[in-house]
Amino acid sequence: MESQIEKEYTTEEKLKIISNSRYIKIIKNKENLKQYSVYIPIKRNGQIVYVVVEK
Amino acid sequence: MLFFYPNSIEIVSRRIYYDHSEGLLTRNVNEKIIFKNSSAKPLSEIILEIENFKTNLKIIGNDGNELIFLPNYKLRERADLPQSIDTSIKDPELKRNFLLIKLKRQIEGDEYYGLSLHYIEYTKEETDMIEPYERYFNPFELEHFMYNEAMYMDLIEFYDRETVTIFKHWGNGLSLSDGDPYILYAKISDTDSDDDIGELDKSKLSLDLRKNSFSFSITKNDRERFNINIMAIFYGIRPEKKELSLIKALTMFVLLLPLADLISFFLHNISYLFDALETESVFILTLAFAQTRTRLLSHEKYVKLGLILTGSFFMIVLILILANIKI
Repeated sequence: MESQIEKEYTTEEKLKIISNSRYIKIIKNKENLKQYSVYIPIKRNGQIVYVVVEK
Repeated sequence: MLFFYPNSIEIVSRRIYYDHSEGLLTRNVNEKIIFKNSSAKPLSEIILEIENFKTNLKIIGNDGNELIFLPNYKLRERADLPQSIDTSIKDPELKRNFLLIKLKRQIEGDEYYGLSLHYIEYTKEETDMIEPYERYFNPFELEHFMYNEAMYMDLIEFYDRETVTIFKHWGNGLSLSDGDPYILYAKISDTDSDDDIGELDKSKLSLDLRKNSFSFSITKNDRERFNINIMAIFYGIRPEKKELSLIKALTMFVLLLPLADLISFFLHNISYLFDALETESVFILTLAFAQTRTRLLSHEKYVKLGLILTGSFFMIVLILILANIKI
């Protein structure tokens, strides 16, 4: 399959995409983030986790 | 920065009140916007950009009347718009939301006016790798024993010089998740780097955190001090721990009580069987009604499971007793 060039989003754009998304996913391990182009680190229960949306 | 038009108005403040009194999954929002007509010319309409689409939006003016607002496509038909908004509206990629608000009466020069935006918002839903049926029947998936937290995210952008006040309220029986709220901000930048994002120090915000609410304000000075471009507030709302423990104990009773039917089978006594059914019904009803207070999300499935187990055990034992089968 031909690889697609993912758009690089600014932090502001990422926050807007997450805000407009109904579904999110919490990823606890940073290594599992590779398949997501939009993610934001947040702190939940004292731990850094990543909020992602699937584009 | 959020767009507004005409430029002669000054948006002074915005107070956003989020009310979680209807449970975990939804909240009612009342956003009060105060602005001043800084020009000498009377004002009959304004255009405001809003952060995102607002469900069931209703706009009330200062005098209590509901105001008419027109969405993006009506704005596209206007020829008198400034270039910046014109381009934004015509480019669907930008996904910006504007409201053209028709005021009930003209706002005179130097007059202040308030608009109230009422709308509903829903929790963020978490997608999960685990299939629903696996979650349902996997006793080891304790994390999902009950969905007990609803997560919310608020994106706050700013109109020029305004002061934004956030106030969130939840009723008795609910509480804020540990360590929340988590407040992020993006700095003014065109690139994506780890330096563009920061956690807002709650102590510097004068966050007023109480049992049933939290609130804070952000002024233009604060934004300049922290270099805030856009802000995101993450928080979870969950039932109070004692309510959660109570409901978990009740659920265990509902799921285990059908086994009591076996006693009537061993004793071969049909009256015990009906007594057990009565007790199980009381527990199932209590669990079902507990939803109104605890507002747990995944409550319903345990009520259903309790009913299925109770009905099945009752029918099997009844048939065995009537068939006079003894062990």
